[in-house]
Amino acid sequence: MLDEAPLGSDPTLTAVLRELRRPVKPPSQAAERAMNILMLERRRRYWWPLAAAAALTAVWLAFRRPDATRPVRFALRAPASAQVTLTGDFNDWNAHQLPLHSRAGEWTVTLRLRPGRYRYAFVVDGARWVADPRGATAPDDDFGTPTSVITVGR
Amino acid sequence: MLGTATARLLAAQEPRLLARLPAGLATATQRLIDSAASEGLPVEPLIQKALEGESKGADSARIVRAVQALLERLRVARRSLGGATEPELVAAAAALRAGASPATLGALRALRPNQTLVVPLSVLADIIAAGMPPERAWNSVREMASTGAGDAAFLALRDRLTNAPSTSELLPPPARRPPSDAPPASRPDRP
Repeated sequence: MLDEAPLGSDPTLTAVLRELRRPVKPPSQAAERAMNILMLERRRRYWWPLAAAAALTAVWLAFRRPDATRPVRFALRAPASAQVTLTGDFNDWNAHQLPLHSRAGEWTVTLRLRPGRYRYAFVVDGARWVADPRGATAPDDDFGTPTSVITVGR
Repeated sequence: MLGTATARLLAAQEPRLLARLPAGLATATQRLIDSAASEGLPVEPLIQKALEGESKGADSARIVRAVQALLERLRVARRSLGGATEPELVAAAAALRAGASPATLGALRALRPNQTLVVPLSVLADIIAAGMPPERAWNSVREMASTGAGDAAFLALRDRLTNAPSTSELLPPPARRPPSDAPPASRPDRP
């Protein structure tokens, strides 16, 4: 404890201890007022950007374009397959362009799609066309291969 | 909605058809697309239909028939809906293909004149495709549309009607598809 430490022979230590023991003067009113203003300014400095960001986010959420894209996750359980791709109205029915990624036999990919109706299918191991067992069946298949359909709402 | 001038420009320059379809098929398809563009109908769904056929290995005649049929459905959809966006026309064409009547489309527009019809039409197509008689499917959708329901409610309705545990009580067995006039290029599978 500072109060109990004896003043020793070391002049530096003695000077330091004497300074630490010196009573602190209470701040003057002006100084105290200045401190309060500084603390308030610090709070203000941090609050305004946060409030502005929150307000902008709220405005964006309220007025975001109704045709903005939404994330849509496609998944197919195919543990024995080496490769699964997704093809449909959203990629010109390119059977090789959109590979899914496998995790414990579940193949998935997430696309951002605008509101609308999309027909699609999975292509397994480069050759086998597979409808989505969890998806709706498209009523408008014209080529003899069952196709799935997904509707993305606003 | 695609402006006529823009549609014409796109139709005249469709490189995807040229890149993927045989020359004769590309020409025949382009003619149909040009017709659509001149009528102010969306061309992208027609392009996608042709590309789908090519990707699935269908023969040229079948692809042309499919594009032609879709074009006709788009025409009927627009006549029935009046003004409509491209996604609405696509969904309406699907509903017509499933078995909905043109009058149904018009009635739905009358119920929701200022709201998009994409999801209600899409749901109508899906529940008819799942086996529900068109009239009954329309009653379900009309009831929901009358309440001003949003997209989420319609999609929940579809999920309820197409995935119900007692499906046999809600839906009759799906009608048998007419036999196709050409074998599919690859056999479809469901895992």
